[in-house]
Amino acid sequence: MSELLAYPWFVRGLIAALLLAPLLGTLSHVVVARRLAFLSTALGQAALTGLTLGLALGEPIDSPYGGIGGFCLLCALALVWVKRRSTLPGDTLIGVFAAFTLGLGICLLVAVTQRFNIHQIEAVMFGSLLTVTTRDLVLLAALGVAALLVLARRYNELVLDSVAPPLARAEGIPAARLDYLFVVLLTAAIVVSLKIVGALLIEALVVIPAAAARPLARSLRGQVGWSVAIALLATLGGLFVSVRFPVPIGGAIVLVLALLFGVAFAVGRRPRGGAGESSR
Amino acid sequence: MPTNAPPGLPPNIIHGAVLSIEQLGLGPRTAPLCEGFDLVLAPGELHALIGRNGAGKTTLLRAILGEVEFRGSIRRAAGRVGSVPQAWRFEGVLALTVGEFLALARQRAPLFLGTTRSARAAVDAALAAVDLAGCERRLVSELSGGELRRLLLAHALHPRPALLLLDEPTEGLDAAALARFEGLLRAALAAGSAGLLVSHDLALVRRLATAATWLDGGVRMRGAPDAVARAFAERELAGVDGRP
Repeated sequence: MSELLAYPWFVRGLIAALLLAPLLGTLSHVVVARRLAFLSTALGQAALTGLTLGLALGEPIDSPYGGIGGFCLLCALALVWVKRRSTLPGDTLIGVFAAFTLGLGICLLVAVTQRFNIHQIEAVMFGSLLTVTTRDLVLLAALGVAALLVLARRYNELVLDSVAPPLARAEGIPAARLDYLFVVLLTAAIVVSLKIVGALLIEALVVIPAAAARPLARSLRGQVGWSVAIALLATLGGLFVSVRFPVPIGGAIVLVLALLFGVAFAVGRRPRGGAGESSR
Repeated sequence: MPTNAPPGLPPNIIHGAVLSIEQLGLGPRTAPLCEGFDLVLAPGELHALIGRNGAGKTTLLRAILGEVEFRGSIRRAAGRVGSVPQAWRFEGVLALTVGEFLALARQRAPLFLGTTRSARAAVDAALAAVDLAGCERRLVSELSGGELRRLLLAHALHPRPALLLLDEPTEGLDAAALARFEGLLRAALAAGSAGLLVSHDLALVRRLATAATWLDGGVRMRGAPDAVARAFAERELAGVDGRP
Protein backbone atom coordinates (compact mmCIF):
# COMPACT_ATOMS: atom_id res chain seq x y z
CA MET A 1 0.00 0.00 0.00
CA SER A 2 2.66 2.52 1.06
CA GLU A 3 4.78 1.80 -2.01
CA LEU A 4 1.74 2.41 -4.20
CA LEU A 5 1.37 5.89 -2.72
CA ALA A 6 4.70 6.76 -4.34
CA TYR A 7 3.00 6.58 -7.75
CA PRO A 8 1.20 9.82 -8.71
CA TRP A 9 -1.30 7.93 -10.90
CA PHE A 10 -2.31 5.79 -7.93
CA VAL A 11 -2.72 8.80 -5.65
CA ARG A 12 -4.87 10.49 -8.32
CA GLY A 13 -6.95 7.32 -8.58
CA LEU A 14 -7.35 7.19 -4.81
CA ILE A 15 -8.48 10.82 -4.65
CA ALA A 16 -10.90 10.21 -7.53
CA ALA A 17 -12.35 7.17 -5.72
CA LEU A 18 -12.86 9.22 -2.54
CA LEU A 19 -14.56 12.03 -4.50
CA LEU A 20 -16.75 9.77 -6.64
CA ALA A 21 -18.31 7.76 -3.83
CA PRO A 22 -20.25 10.51 -1.99
CA LEU A 23 -21.35 12.10 -5.27
CA LEU A 24 -22.63 8.97 -7.00
CA GLY A 25 -23.75 7.26 -3.79
CA THR A 26 -25.98 10.23 -2.91
CA LEU A 27 -27.32 10.66 -6.43
CA SER A 28 -28.01 6.97 -6.92
CA HIS A 29 -31.10 6.57 -4.76
CA VAL A 30 -32.74 9.58 -6.44
CA VAL A 31 -31.87 7.98 -9.80
CA VAL A 32 -33.66 4.75 -8.88
CA ALA A 33 -36.57 6.60 -7.23
CA ARG A 34 -37.11 8.66 -10.40
CA ARG A 35 -36.71 5.53 -12.55
CA LEU A 36 -33.75 6.92 -14.45
CA ALA A 37 -31.48 3.86 -14.32
CA PHE A 38 -31.91 3.32 -18.06
CA LEU A 39 -31.21 7.01 -18.69
CA SER A 40 -27.81 6.57 -17.03
CA THR A 41 -27.00 3.83 -19.55
CA ALA A 42 -28.20 6.03 -22.39
CA LEU A 43 -26.07 8.94 -21.17
CA GLY A 44 -23.04 6.65 -20.98
CA GLN A 45 -23.62 5.73 -24.63
CA ALA A 46 -24.19 9.39 -25.50
CA ALA A 47 -20.83 10.13 -23.87
CA LEU A 48 -19.14 7.84 -26.37
CA THR A 49 -20.83 9.73 -29.20
CA GLY A 50 -19.93 13.05 -27.59
CA LEU A 51 -16.33 11.93 -27.34
CA THR A 52 -16.13 11.05 -31.02
CA LEU A 53 -17.91 14.28 -31.97
CA GLY A 54 -15.49 16.31 -29.86
CA LEU A 55 -12.48 14.52 -31.36
CA ALA A 56 -13.83 15.00 -34.87
CA LEU A 57 -14.12 18.73 -34.13
CA GLY A 58 -10.51 18.90 -32.94
CA GLU A 59 -10.77 18.44 -29.16
CA PRO A 60 -7.68 16.90 -27.45
CA ILE A 61 -8.19 13.23 -26.48
CA ASP A 62 -6.88 13.71 -22.94
CA SER A 63 -9.51 16.35 -22.15
CA PRO A 64 -12.64 15.64 -24.18
CA TYR A 65 -15.10 17.27 -21.78
CA GLY A 66 -16.58 19.77 -24.26
CA GLY A 67 -17.84 17.12 -26.66
CA ILE A 68 -18.92 14.65 -23.97
CA GLY A 69 -20.53 17.23 -21.68
CA GLY A 70 -22.18 19.17 -24.47
CA PHE A 71 -23.65 16.16 -26.25
CA CYS A 72 -24.78 14.40 -23.06
CA LEU A 73 -26.45 17.56 -21.80
CA LEU A 74 -28.15 18.13 -25.13
CA CYS A 75 -29.46 14.54 -25.16
CA ALA A 76 -30.64 14.68 -21.53
CA LEU A 77 -32.49 17.98 -21.96
CA ALA A 78 -33.99 16.90 -25.29
CA LEU A 79 -35.18 13.66 -23.71
CA VAL A 80 -36.93 15.44 -20.84
CA TRP A 81 -38.49 17.90 -23.31
CA VAL A 82 -39.86 15.07 -25.47
CA LYS A 83 -40.93 12.99 -22.45
CA ARG A 84 -43.00 15.85 -21.08
CA ARG A 85 -44.81 16.16 -24.41
CA SER A 86 -45.29 12.49 -25.24
CA THR A 87 -47.67 9.81 -24.07
CA LEU A 88 -44.99 7.14 -24.60
CA PRO A 89 -43.43 5.68 -21.42
CA GLY A 90 -40.08 7.10 -20.36
CA ASP A 91 -38.14 3.86 -20.93
CA THR A 92 -39.40 3.63 -24.53
CA LEU A 93 -38.24 7.17 -25.27
CA ILE A 94 -34.89 6.55 -23.59
CA GLY A 95 -34.54 3.44 -25.78
CA VAL A 96 -35.08 5.58 -28.88
CA PHE A 97 -32.50 8.15 -27.74
CA ALA A 98 -29.99 5.48 -26.72
CA ALA A 99 -30.27 3.72 -30.08
CA PHE A 100 -29.86 7.00 -31.97
CA THR A 101 -26.84 8.18 -30.00
CA LEU A 102 -25.11 4.79 -30.18
CA GLY A 103 -25.73 4.51 -33.92
CA LEU A 104 -24.33 7.99 -34.46
CA GLY A 105 -21.39 7.24 -32.17
CA ILE A 106 -20.45 4.04 -34.00
CA CYS A 107 -20.56 5.81 -37.37
CA LEU A 108 -18.39 8.65 -36.08
CA LEU A 109 -16.03 6.25 -34.32
CA VAL A 110 -14.94 4.76 -37.63
CA ALA A 111 -14.00 8.22 -38.88
CA VAL A 112 -12.26 9.22 -35.66
CA THR A 113 -10.16 6.05 -35.24
CA GLN A 114 -8.40 6.91 -38.47
CA ARG A 115 -6.81 9.79 -36.52
CA PHE A 116 -6.55 8.27 -33.01
CA ASN A 117 -5.45 4.99 -31.52
CA ILE A 118 -8.53 2.93 -30.57
CA HIS A 119 -6.93 2.17 -27.19
CA GLN A 120 -7.08 5.86 -26.29
CA ILE A 121 -10.83 5.76 -26.87
CA GLU A 122 -11.12 2.49 -24.96
CA ALA A 123 -9.89 4.32 -21.87
CA VAL A 124 -12.99 6.51 -21.97
CA MET A 125 -15.28 3.59 -22.73
CA PHE A 126 -14.07 1.30 -19.92
CA GLY A 127 -12.25 3.66 -17.55
CA SER A 128 -8.52 3.98 -16.91
CA LEU A 129 -6.38 4.97 -13.97
CA LEU A 130 -3.43 6.01 -16.03
CA THR A 131 -5.20 8.69 -18.04
CA VAL A 132 -6.60 10.60 -15.01
CA THR A 133 -4.90 13.98 -14.71
CA THR A 134 -4.80 16.55 -11.91
CA ARG A 135 -7.05 18.71 -14.08
CA ASP A 136 -9.61 15.87 -14.18
CA LEU A 137 -9.55 15.72 -10.38
CA VAL A 138 -10.05 19.47 -10.03
CA LEU A 139 -13.02 19.28 -12.40
CA LEU A 140 -14.41 16.26 -10.52
CA ALA A 141 -14.08 18.04 -7.17
CA ALA A 142 -15.53 21.36 -8.38
CA LEU A 143 -18.48 19.92 -10.31
CA GLY A 144 -19.05 17.22 -7.71
CA VAL A 145 -19.30 19.70 -4.85
CA ALA A 146 -21.52 22.01 -6.91
CA ALA A 147 -23.82 19.10 -7.85
CA LEU A 148 -24.04 17.92 -4.22
CA LEU A 149 -24.87 21.44 -3.01
CA VAL A 150 -27.67 21.81 -5.57
CA LEU A 151 -28.91 18.31 -4.75
CA ALA A 152 -28.96 19.10 -1.03
CA ARG A 153 -30.96 22.27 -1.67
CA ARG A 154 -33.61 20.50 -3.75
CA TYR A 155 -33.34 17.08 -2.16
CA ASN A 156 -36.65 16.95 -0.25
CA GLU A 157 -38.57 18.26 -3.25
CA LEU A 158 -36.91 15.72 -5.54
CA VAL A 159 -37.74 12.82 -3.24
CA LEU A 160 -41.37 13.90 -2.71
CA ASP A 161 -41.78 14.45 -6.45
CA SER A 162 -40.31 10.98 -7.08
CA VAL A 163 -42.44 8.99 -4.62
CA ALA A 164 -45.69 11.01 -4.62
CA PRO A 165 -46.04 13.34 -7.63
CA PRO A 166 -49.63 14.39 -6.77
CA LEU A 167 -48.55 15.52 -3.30
CA ALA A 168 -45.60 17.39 -4.77
CA ARG A 169 -47.97 19.26 -7.10
CA ALA A 170 -50.20 20.13 -4.11
CA GLU A 171 -47.15 21.54 -2.31
CA GLY A 172 -46.43 23.72 -5.34
CA ILE A 173 -43.25 21.86 -6.30
CA PRO A 174 -42.57 22.51 -10.02
CA ALA A 175 -42.30 19.14 -11.76
CA ALA A 176 -40.79 20.39 -15.01
CA ARG A 177 -38.05 22.40 -13.32
CA LEU A 178 -37.09 19.40 -11.15
CA ASP A 179 -37.04 17.08 -14.16
CA TYR A 180 -34.61 19.33 -16.01
CA LEU A 181 -32.56 20.10 -12.91
CA PHE A 182 -32.00 16.48 -12.01
CA VAL A 183 -30.90 15.36 -15.48
CA VAL A 184 -28.42 18.27 -15.52
CA LEU A 185 -27.03 17.10 -12.15
CA LEU A 186 -26.89 13.50 -13.35
CA THR A 187 -25.18 14.49 -16.59
CA ALA A 188 -22.58 16.56 -14.71
CA ALA A 189 -21.88 13.66 -12.34
CA ILE A 190 -21.58 11.16 -15.20
CA VAL A 191 -19.30 13.37 -17.29
CA VAL A 192 -16.80 13.99 -14.48
CA SER A 193 -16.79 10.27 -13.54
CA LEU A 194 -16.21 8.93 -17.04
CA LYS A 195 -12.44 8.76 -17.07
CA ILE A 196 -12.41 6.55 -13.98
CA VAL A 197 -15.46 4.36 -14.42
CA GLY A 198 -15.85 4.44 -18.19
CA ALA A 199 -18.76 5.50 -20.38
CA LEU A 200 -20.23 2.04 -20.81
CA LEU A 201 -20.08 1.12 -17.11
CA ILE A 202 -21.13 4.36 -15.45
CA GLU A 203 -24.72 3.14 -14.99
CA ALA A 204 -23.48 0.67 -12.36
CA LEU A 205 -22.27 3.42 -10.02
CA VAL A 206 -25.46 5.45 -10.22
CA VAL A 207 -27.82 2.49 -9.77
CA ILE A 208 -26.24 -0.36 -7.80
CA PRO A 209 -25.30 1.56 -4.59
CA ALA A 210 -28.92 2.51 -3.89
CA ALA A 211 -30.23 -0.89 -5.01
CA ALA A 212 -27.75 -2.71 -2.76
CA ALA A 213 -28.45 -0.33 0.13
CA ARG A 214 -32.22 -0.88 0.04
CA PRO A 215 -32.37 -4.29 1.80
CA LEU A 216 -29.90 -3.07 4.43
CA ALA A 217 -31.61 0.22 5.29
CA ARG A 218 -34.39 0.94 7.78
CA SER A 219 -34.76 4.60 6.77
CA LEU A 220 -34.02 6.92 3.86
CA ARG A 221 -31.15 8.44 5.81
CA GLY A 222 -29.76 4.95 6.37
CA GLN A 223 -30.18 4.12 2.69
CA VAL A 224 -28.17 7.19 1.66
CA GLY A 225 -25.47 6.26 4.20
CA TRP A 226 -25.31 2.69 2.93
CA SER A 227 -25.29 3.91 -0.70
CA VAL A 228 -22.28 6.13 -0.09
CA ALA A 229 -20.50 3.38 1.88
CA ILE A 230 -21.14 0.82 -0.87
CA ALA A 231 -19.99 3.28 -3.57
CA LEU A 232 -16.84 3.94 -1.51
CA LEU A 233 -16.12 0.23 -1.02
CA ALA A 234 -16.63 -0.35 -4.74
CA THR A 235 -14.43 2.50 -5.95
CA LEU A 236 -11.62 1.66 -3.50
CA GLY A 237 -12.04 -2.07 -4.10
CA GLY A 238 -12.03 -1.54 -7.86
CA LEU A 239 -8.92 0.60 -7.57
CA PHE A 240 -6.98 -2.10 -5.71
CA VAL A 241 -8.22 -4.89 -7.98
CA SER A 242 -7.16 -2.95 -11.08
CA VAL A 243 -3.73 -2.36 -9.54
CA ARG A 244 -3.24 -6.05 -8.67
CA PHE A 245 -4.73 -7.57 -11.81
CA PRO A 246 -4.58 -6.49 -15.46
CA VAL A 247 -8.20 -5.32 -15.66
CA PRO A 248 -9.62 -1.85 -16.33
CA ILE A 249 -10.70 0.01 -13.21
CA GLY A 250 -14.27 0.53 -14.50
CA GLY A 251 -14.83 -3.20 -14.89
CA ALA A 252 -13.27 -3.89 -11.50
CA ILE A 253 -15.56 -1.34 -9.79
CA VAL A 254 -18.61 -2.92 -11.39
CA LEU A 255 -17.55 -6.41 -10.30
CA VAL A 256 -17.10 -5.24 -6.69
CA LEU A 257 -20.50 -3.50 -6.86
CA ALA A 258 -22.16 -6.64 -8.16
CA LEU A 259 -20.56 -8.63 -5.34
CA LEU A 260 -21.79 -6.12 -2.75
CA PHE A 261 -25.27 -6.21 -4.25
CA GLY A 262 -25.28 -10.00 -3.93
CA VAL A 263 -24.15 -9.84 -0.30
CA ALA A 264 -26.73 -7.17 0.57
CA PHE A 265 -29.47 -9.18 -1.10
CA ALA A 266 -28.45 -12.30 0.82
CA VAL A 267 -28.18 -10.72 4.27
CA GLY A 268 -30.73 -7.90 3.97
CA ARG A 269 -34.40 -7.74 4.90
CA ARG A 270 -37.02 -9.27 2.66
CA PRO A 271 -40.04 -7.08 1.84
CA ARG A 272 -42.93 -7.61 4.25
CA GLY A 273 -45.48 -6.95 1.52
CA GLY A 274 -47.48 -4.01 2.87
CA ALA A 275 -50.05 -2.38 0.62
CA GLY A 276 -47.53 0.36 0.00
CA GLU A 277 -45.10 -1.98 -1.70
CA SER A 278 -45.65 -2.17 -5.42
CA SER A 279 -43.76 -2.53 -8.62
CA ARG A 280 -45.14 -0.78 -11.62
CA MET B 1 -67.27 39.97 -8.33
CA PRO B 2 -63.93 38.98 -9.81
CA THR B 3 -62.20 42.16 -8.70
CA ASN B 4 -61.24 44.07 -5.56
CA ALA B 5 -58.97 41.31 -4.35
CA PRO B 6 -56.96 42.30 -1.30
CA PRO B 7 -53.17 42.55 -1.64
CA GLY B 8 -51.58 39.11 -1.80
CA LEU B 9 -54.41 37.45 -3.64
CA PRO B 10 -54.07 36.68 -7.34
CA PRO B 11 -55.91 39.16 -9.56
CA ASN B 12 -59.48 38.23 -10.45
CA ILE B 13 -59.96 35.93 -7.46
CA ILE B 14 -63.37 36.49 -6.03
CA HIS B 15 -63.04 38.37 -2.78
CA GLY B 16 -62.90 35.96 0.15
CA ALA B 17 -62.87 32.86 -2.06
CA VAL B 18 -60.32 30.10 -1.57
CA LEU B 19 -60.88 28.79 -5.08
CA SER B 20 -62.64 30.24 -8.09
CA ILE B 21 -63.13 28.33 -11.30
CA GLU B 22 -64.56 30.02 -14.37
CA GLN B 23 -65.65 28.51 -17.67
CA LEU B 24 -63.51 25.43 -17.13
CA GLY B 25 -63.20 23.00 -20.00
CA LEU B 26 -61.59 19.56 -19.57
CA GLY B 27 -60.66 16.92 -22.11
CA PRO B 28 -60.37 17.40 -25.87
CA ARG B 29 -62.62 20.06 -27.40
CA THR B 30 -64.17 17.44 -29.72
CA ALA B 31 -65.21 15.20 -26.77
CA PRO B 32 -64.97 17.30 -23.60
CA LEU B 33 -65.40 15.80 -20.13
CA CYS B 34 -66.98 19.06 -19.10
CA GLU B 35 -67.30 22.56 -20.53
CA GLY B 36 -68.24 25.89 -18.99
CA PHE B 37 -67.78 24.66 -15.40
CA ASP B 38 -67.94 27.40 -12.74
CA LEU B 39 -67.35 27.07 -9.02
CA VAL B 40 -66.51 29.39 -6.15
CA LEU B 41 -65.38 27.96 -2.81
CA ALA B 42 -65.44 30.12 0.30
CA PRO B 43 -63.69 29.24 3.58
CA GLY B 44 -65.57 26.56 5.50
CA GLU B 45 -67.26 25.10 2.43
CA LEU B 46 -66.88 21.49 1.32
CA HIS B 47 -68.17 20.94 -2.18
CA ALA B 48 -68.77 17.34 -3.22
CA LEU B 49 -68.34 16.14 -6.80
CA ILE B 50 -70.32 13.02 -7.60
CA GLY B 51 -70.91 11.12 -10.79
CA ARG B 52 -70.13 7.95 -12.65
CA ASN B 53 -66.62 6.72 -13.40
CA GLY B 54 -65.10 8.80 -16.18
CA ALA B 55 -67.30 11.85 -15.52
CA GLY B 56 -64.20 14.01 -14.97
CA LYS B 57 -64.20 14.35 -11.17
CA THR B 58 -60.58 13.30 -10.65
CA THR B 59 -59.49 15.17 -13.78
CA LEU B 60 -61.00 18.33 -12.32
CA LEU B 61 -58.93 17.93 -9.14
CA ARG B 62 -55.83 17.26 -11.25
CA ALA B 63 -56.52 20.40 -13.28
CA ILE B 64 -56.60 22.44 -10.05
CA LEU B 65 -53.15 21.00 -9.21
CA GLY B 66 -51.90 21.87 -12.69
CA GLU B 67 -51.38 18.23 -13.65
CA VAL B 68 -53.60 18.32 -16.76
CA GLU B 69 -54.30 20.97 -19.35
CA PHE B 70 -57.57 22.85 -19.21
CA ARG B 71 -59.49 25.71 -20.78
CA GLY B 72 -60.87 28.62 -18.77
CA SER B 73 -59.43 29.84 -15.50
CA ILE B 74 -58.66 28.31 -12.10
CA ARG B 75 -57.53 30.70 -9.38
CA ARG B 76 -56.45 29.76 -5.88
CA ALA B 77 -55.99 32.10 -2.97
CA ALA B 78 -52.63 31.99 -1.24
CA GLY B 79 -52.21 29.16 1.25
CA ARG B 80 -51.37 25.53 1.51
CA VAL B 81 -53.15 22.86 -0.55
CA GLY B 82 -53.74 19.50 1.12
CA SER B 83 -54.33 16.68 -1.32
CA VAL B 84 -55.43 13.07 -0.91
CA PRO B 85 -55.05 11.47 -4.35
CA GLN B 86 -57.22 8.54 -5.35
CA ALA B 87 -54.80 6.00 -6.74
CA TRP B 88 -51.42 6.43 -5.14
CA ARG B 89 -49.22 3.49 -4.30
CA PHE B 90 -45.83 3.86 -2.72
CA GLU B 91 -42.87 2.54 -4.69
CA GLY B 92 -40.79 0.39 -2.34
CA VAL B 93 -37.49 1.38 -3.95
CA LEU B 94 -36.74 3.88 -1.16
CA ALA B 95 -36.54 2.90 2.52
CA LEU B 96 -38.64 5.92 3.46
CA THR B 97 -40.08 5.85 6.97
CA VAL B 98 -43.46 7.29 7.89
CA GLY B 99 -41.77 10.12 9.79
CA GLU B 100 -39.40 10.91 6.91
CA PHE B 101 -42.28 10.90 4.42
CA LEU B 102 -44.16 13.55 6.40
CA ALA B 103 -40.96 15.54 7.04
CA LEU B 104 -40.26 15.92 3.29
CA ALA B 105 -42.68 18.83 3.00
CA ARG B 106 -42.06 20.14 6.51
CA GLN B 107 -38.35 20.96 6.53
CA ARG B 108 -35.91 22.68 4.20
CA ALA B 109 -32.78 20.89 5.40
CA PRO B 110 -32.06 17.83 3.23
CA LEU B 111 -33.61 14.76 4.78
CA PHE B 112 -30.45 12.67 4.36
CA LEU B 113 -28.97 14.80 7.15
CA GLY B 114 -31.83 13.80 9.46
CA THR B 115 -35.19 15.20 10.56
CA THR B 116 -35.13 18.63 12.19
CA ARG B 117 -36.63 19.16 15.65
CA SER B 118 -39.45 21.38 14.39
CA ALA B 119 -40.33 18.94 11.59
CA ARG B 120 -40.35 16.08 14.11
CA ALA B 121 -42.82 17.95 16.30
CA ALA B 122 -45.07 18.61 13.29
CA VAL B 123 -44.82 14.96 12.21
CA ASP B 124 -45.74 13.72 15.70
CA ALA B 125 -48.80 15.98 15.78
CA ALA B 126 -49.92 14.92 12.30
CA LEU B 127 -49.52 11.20 13.12
CA ALA B 128 -51.32 11.50 16.44
CA ALA B 129 -54.29 13.12 14.68
CA VAL B 130 -54.81 10.05 12.46
CA ASP B 131 -54.08 7.52 15.21
CA LEU B 132 -50.66 6.59 13.80
CA ALA B 133 -48.69 7.90 16.79
CA GLY B 134 -45.54 5.84 17.33
CA CYS B 135 -45.41 4.70 13.70
CA GLU B 136 -42.82 7.24 12.54
CA ARG B 137 -40.05 4.63 12.25
CA ARG B 138 -42.12 2.16 10.22
CA LEU B 139 -41.39 1.93 6.50
CA VAL B 140 -44.08 3.43 4.27
CA SER B 141 -43.75 0.38 2.01
CA GLU B 142 -44.87 -1.85 4.89
CA LEU B 143 -48.08 0.01 5.77
CA SER B 144 -51.44 -1.59 5.10
CA GLY B 145 -53.87 0.03 2.64
CA GLY B 146 -55.87 1.71 5.42
CA GLU B 147 -52.71 2.94 7.19
CA LEU B 148 -51.41 4.39 3.93
CA ARG B 149 -54.69 6.26 3.51
CA ARG B 150 -54.40 7.64 7.04
CA LEU B 151 -50.84 8.73 6.30
CA LEU B 152 -52.11 10.66 3.29
CA LEU B 153 -54.79 12.28 5.45
CA ALA B 154 -52.14 13.25 8.01
CA HIS B 155 -50.09 14.82 5.22
CA ALA B 156 -53.10 16.67 3.79
CA LEU B 157 -54.58 17.98 7.04
CA HIS B 158 -51.45 19.10 8.92
CA PRO B 159 -50.66 21.93 8.96
CA ARG B 160 -54.20 23.09 8.25
CA PRO B 161 -54.54 23.75 4.52
CA ALA B 162 -56.44 26.62 2.90
CA LEU B 163 -57.75 24.22 0.26
CA LEU B 164 -58.34 20.47 0.52
CA LEU B 165 -58.61 18.24 -2.53
CA LEU B 166 -59.96 14.88 -1.40
CA ASP B 167 -60.32 12.09 -3.94
CA GLU B 168 -62.04 9.08 -2.39
CA PRO B 169 -60.32 9.87 0.92
CA THR B 170 -62.12 7.24 2.97
CA GLU B 171 -61.39 4.25 0.73
CA GLY B 172 -60.00 1.44 2.89
CA LEU B 173 -60.63 3.17 6.23
CA ASP B 174 -62.19 1.16 9.05
CA ALA B 175 -65.09 2.58 11.11
CA ALA B 176 -62.87 4.12 13.79
CA ALA B 177 -60.55 5.75 11.23
CA LEU B 178 -63.56 7.02 9.28
CA ALA B 179 -65.04 8.66 12.38
CA ARG B 180 -61.68 10.24 13.17
CA PHE B 181 -61.33 11.51 9.59
CA GLU B 182 -64.77 13.10 9.73
CA GLY B 183 -63.88 14.84 12.97
CA LEU B 184 -60.60 16.14 11.55
CA LEU B 185 -62.27 17.36 8.37
CA ARG B 186 -65.02 19.14 10.29
CA ALA B 187 -62.41 20.81 12.49
CA ALA B 188 -60.43 21.96 9.44
CA LEU B 189 -63.56 23.38 7.80
CA ALA B 190 -64.60 25.10 11.03
CA ALA B 191 -61.13 26.68 11.18
CA GLY B 192 -61.55 28.12 7.67
CA SER B 193 -60.33 25.48 5.21
CA ALA B 194 -62.36 24.85 2.07
CA GLY B 195 -62.46 21.61 0.18
CA LEU B 196 -63.50 19.63 -2.85
CA LEU B 197 -64.57 16.07 -2.10
CA VAL B 198 -64.83 13.35 -4.73
CA SER B 199 -66.56 10.29 -3.34
CA HIS B 200 -68.81 7.44 -4.34
CA ASP B 201 -69.90 7.18 -0.71
CA LEU B 202 -73.14 9.18 -0.92
CA ALA B 203 -73.80 8.85 2.82
CA LEU B 204 -70.43 10.53 3.47
CA VAL B 205 -71.31 13.28 0.98
CA ARG B 206 -74.63 13.88 2.76
CA ARG B 207 -72.94 14.04 6.17
CA LEU B 208 -70.01 16.28 5.32
CA ALA B 209 -70.57 18.37 2.19
CA THR B 210 -72.09 21.83 2.22
CA ALA B 211 -72.99 21.63 -1.48
CA ALA B 212 -72.68 19.11 -4.30
CA THR B 213 -72.36 18.92 -8.06
CA TRP B 214 -73.36 15.92 -10.16
CA LEU B 215 -71.01 15.70 -13.13
CA ASP B 216 -72.22 13.91 -16.23
CA GLY B 217 -70.74 15.36 -19.42
CA GLY B 218 -70.79 18.71 -17.62
CA VAL B 219 -72.84 19.93 -14.66
CA ARG B 220 -75.96 17.76 -14.53
CA MET B 221 -77.22 19.09 -11.22
CA ARG B 222 -75.95 21.33 -8.43
CA GLY B 223 -77.41 22.11 -5.03
CA ALA B 224 -77.80 20.76 -1.53
CA PRO B 225 -75.90 17.47 -1.02
CA ASP B 226 -79.06 15.58 -0.03
CA ALA B 227 -80.98 16.53 -3.15
CA VAL B 228 -78.09 15.98 -5.56
CA ALA B 229 -77.08 12.65 -3.99
CA ARG B 230 -80.70 11.44 -4.03
CA ALA B 231 -81.17 12.38 -7.68
CA PHE B 232 -77.91 10.67 -8.65
CA ALA B 233 -78.72 7.53 -6.65
CA GLU B 234 -82.20 7.29 -8.18
CA ARG B 235 -80.79 7.61 -11.67
CA GLU B 236 -78.16 4.97 -10.94
CA LEU B 237 -80.70 2.56 -9.43
CA ALA B 238 -83.01 3.02 -12.36
CA GLY B 239 -80.16 2.04 -14.62
CA VAL B 240 -81.11 4.75 -17.07
CA ASP B 241 -78.43 6.47 -19.07
CA GLY B 242 -80.05 9.76 -18.21
CA ARG B 243 -78.33 11.96 -20.72
CA PRO B 244 -80.72 14.50 -22.18
